[in-house]
Amino acid sequence: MHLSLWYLFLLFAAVVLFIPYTYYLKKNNQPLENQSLNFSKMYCIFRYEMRLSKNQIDHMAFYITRNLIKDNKIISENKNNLMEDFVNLITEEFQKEDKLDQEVRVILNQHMEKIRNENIEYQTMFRMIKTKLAKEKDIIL
Amino acid sequence: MSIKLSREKINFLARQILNFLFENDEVEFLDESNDIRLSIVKSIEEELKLYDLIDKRSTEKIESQKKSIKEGSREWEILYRKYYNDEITKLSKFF
Repeated sequence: MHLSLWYLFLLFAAVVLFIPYTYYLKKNNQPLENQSLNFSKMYCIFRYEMRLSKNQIDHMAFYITRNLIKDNKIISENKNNLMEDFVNLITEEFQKEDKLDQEVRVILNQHMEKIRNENIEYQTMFRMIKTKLAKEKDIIL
Repeated sequence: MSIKLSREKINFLARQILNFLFENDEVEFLDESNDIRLSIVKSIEEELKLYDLIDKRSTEKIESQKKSIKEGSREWEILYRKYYNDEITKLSKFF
């Protein structure tokens, strides 16, 4: 009985504290050692999930479609379908960059000791690797 | 929190959209492809300016509260998100 309570407690700690904390630190592209715990920001992690939110992408796609039609640049049989296609296209494009950021974080985490020992600035390294990988993968930043 | 997209990114998105239009049988072109591309670029730039405006409005709305709310605090973040989403959903999406 006591053992199961301990398991429950550990599970609770992992879900409520550890996972959001590490996620928040990684999202800020900083080595774990250089950050102090900030609970207020830690639980607002999802604000930084994407470069543009779903609402923003939806409106951007609508605005592009509307202007193309309003300014007599194109005629489309189904405006709503076209708008949906633009939403998908823009979303995919931003997801590529999100995945790239994640890859850079993984690479840097593998070399964290070297970065720390040689006093290399994490943010500069992050940008350098991201630019290099983006070039290799043909991702426009 | 303002959203910045590089000039290259905006141009790239516009080209992607234009290429998509070319492949779409349901779309008929009434103008030169470069003019269409420029129209898409302009729309994206205007949209980003709109986000800046919404950001400003949301921040001002928080500042206008009787109670002082510290920027970056949990309460500030929640209110900011709420006001930002309220503003963006208010925008028209009807053709």
